[in-house]
Amino acid sequence: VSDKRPLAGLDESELVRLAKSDALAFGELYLRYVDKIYSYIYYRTSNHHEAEDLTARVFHRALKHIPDYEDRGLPFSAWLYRIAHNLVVNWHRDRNRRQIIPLEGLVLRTLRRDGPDRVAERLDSAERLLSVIRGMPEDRQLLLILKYVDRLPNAEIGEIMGRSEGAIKSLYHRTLVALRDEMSRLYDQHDRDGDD
Amino acid sequence: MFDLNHHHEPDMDALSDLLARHVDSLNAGVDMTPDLMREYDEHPSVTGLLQLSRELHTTMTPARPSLDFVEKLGYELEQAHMRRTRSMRRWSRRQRSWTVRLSRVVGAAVSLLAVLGLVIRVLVSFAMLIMLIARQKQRSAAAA
Repeated sequence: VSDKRPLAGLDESELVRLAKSDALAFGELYLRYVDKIYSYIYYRTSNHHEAEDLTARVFHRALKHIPDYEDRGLPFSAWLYRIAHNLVVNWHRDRNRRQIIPLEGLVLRTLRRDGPDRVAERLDSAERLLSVIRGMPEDRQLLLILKYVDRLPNAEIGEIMGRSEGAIKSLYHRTLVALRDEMSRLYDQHDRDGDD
Repeated sequence: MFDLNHHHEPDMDALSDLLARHVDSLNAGVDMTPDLMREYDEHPSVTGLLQLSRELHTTMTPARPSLDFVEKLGYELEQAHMRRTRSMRRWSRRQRSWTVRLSRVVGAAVSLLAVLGLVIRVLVSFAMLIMLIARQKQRSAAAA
């Protein structure tokens, strides 16, 4: 791996400085973040093709603007997430594609260990959970993705989102409460519909 | 384990801490949910959030792009980076050659002006000398 990625050992700020004029350094940054950016976009769009298209646009835009990038002590990923966020917001606004798109591919991967009868039940529950998340404010969606998908600690999430670690902890708590309330409301409604 | 008062509704800060530690332990591969559920079974608001957190952890797994896509985009970016670097070099070379050309033109113009100035000065001096000789001839003619 080190032969194929000779710059893998460099720290991020050095890599970003080099990437302004060196394709190899930019390629190393790309390899470090492509999975995370793709994951973020996939959870925001629920569509594999759109996630690929928008991921490509994020990195092309980053390549175009990296000569103007100023290192202000924030992680480079914060800049990439901001580009991704703007593209996703435009995508939702321009194409008005907020309808639910199948998530079976993603959810099924997590359910392989269950029997077929449990899979359907959990798939339904997982889809419901993800659809509620997609209806939440942008900052809460980003927090949940960074926390559960990218598995980042609060301090790093705070750097990416421009908030203190304490503020992230508190936002996480409020997000869980809001999600729980919305889920219970959905389940109550589901039960009422079943009774009728 | 955590600073929660089991007999009263836990305060917001303590609950935020509990939830943050719970998810961090899940991300580290340690599931403390069953122990915490037993510990806080008097607080359904707490246990509900712990269960939800575990469900999120199970559902929100990383989505990975295909290797083909990663390689293809990597190649495209490399080509685009090289194109940009080449065009920047070309632009900088063009800028340099334009600067050299401009300085040559300015240098030639300054030299030409200097030569013209010199010629004019010589001509003026020559004319003044002729005028002086002519005046002296007039004076000597008048005296005679």
